[in-house]
Amino acid sequence: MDHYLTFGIDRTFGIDRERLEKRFYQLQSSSHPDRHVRAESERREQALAESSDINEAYRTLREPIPRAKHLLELYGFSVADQKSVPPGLLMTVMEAQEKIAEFEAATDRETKQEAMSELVAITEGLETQRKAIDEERDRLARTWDIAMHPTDPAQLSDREKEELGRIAQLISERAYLETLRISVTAARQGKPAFIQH
Amino acid sequence: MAYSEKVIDHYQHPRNVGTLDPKDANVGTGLVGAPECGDVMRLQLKINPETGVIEDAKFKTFGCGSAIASSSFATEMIKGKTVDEAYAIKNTTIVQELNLPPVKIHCSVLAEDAIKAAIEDFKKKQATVPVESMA
Ligand code: FES
Repeated sequence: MDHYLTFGIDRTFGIDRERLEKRFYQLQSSSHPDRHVRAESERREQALAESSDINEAYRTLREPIPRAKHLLELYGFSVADQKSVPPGLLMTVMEAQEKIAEFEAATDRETKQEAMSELVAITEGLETQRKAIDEERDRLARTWDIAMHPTDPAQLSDREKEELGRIAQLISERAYLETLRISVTAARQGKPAFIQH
Repeated sequence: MAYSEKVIDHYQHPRNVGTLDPKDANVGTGLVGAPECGDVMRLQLKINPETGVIEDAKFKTFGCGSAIASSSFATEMIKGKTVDEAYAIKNTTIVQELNLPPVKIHCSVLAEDAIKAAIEDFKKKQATVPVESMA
């Protein structure tokens, strides 16, 4: 399902969030199932389905990452397929996670503090990486948005495919850093670093 | 999320958590990640170079309960198997055994990828082992 179509907006990475919100309330109020209580059950069911489509479209389009993933999927690119990771990234993430485990297992203050200061240093390095990733993604997305593109994935040029592929890759790299950041934050707050997806 | 009993068991009592010496020529290390959620898994196998039998397996997974259970179950399953048998293992076996719901399938893919990566690492190492130590 094309969520952009549901909202009747252009298929771009960047969107006007205020307009999206307004449009959401408009759409929702015209299809709200309560408005069709007296209608025949068929019409009511249809309204219900519409309403849940609108909710899902809104949830997806509201935040930049889910929105970007959706746009990519419309063109047949999936973040889940991004198997190649820059060398060193997984290693860094793994080492940092082991540091967190060390931090959590430590019983004396000194070891704990030492592990934490190492963690802080690692996280700062990762923050820099994350910024670089976000900047590149932003730049690519903006360049994409100002040009015209086919809606049919089969008509994408090699150049367009390359651009979308790169964006998908950047989103997956970001996921590793983001998950780690959440773990580090949880550890610092004394919460279990177990990741709940 | 409702996990199956087997997942909870493996999650609460993971088997074979740990590390093998990555420098050992008979140890293959696979480090893989899930691109969507950013979870990571390291799986290591100690393989007898003569028989090709997997003698030991250890893992460390930083990820969701299903990923931990999948890797724990995978290490249990492949011990005693030959490299070729282990390489042929599909994530669908893990999905069935652990009864994973559709949204958790990628967690089992992670385990399959890790096994393959560990075996490939072992093979690469064996190919470059100096001649003396082969005797
Ligand atoms: S949710 Fe990421 S591996 Fe399970």
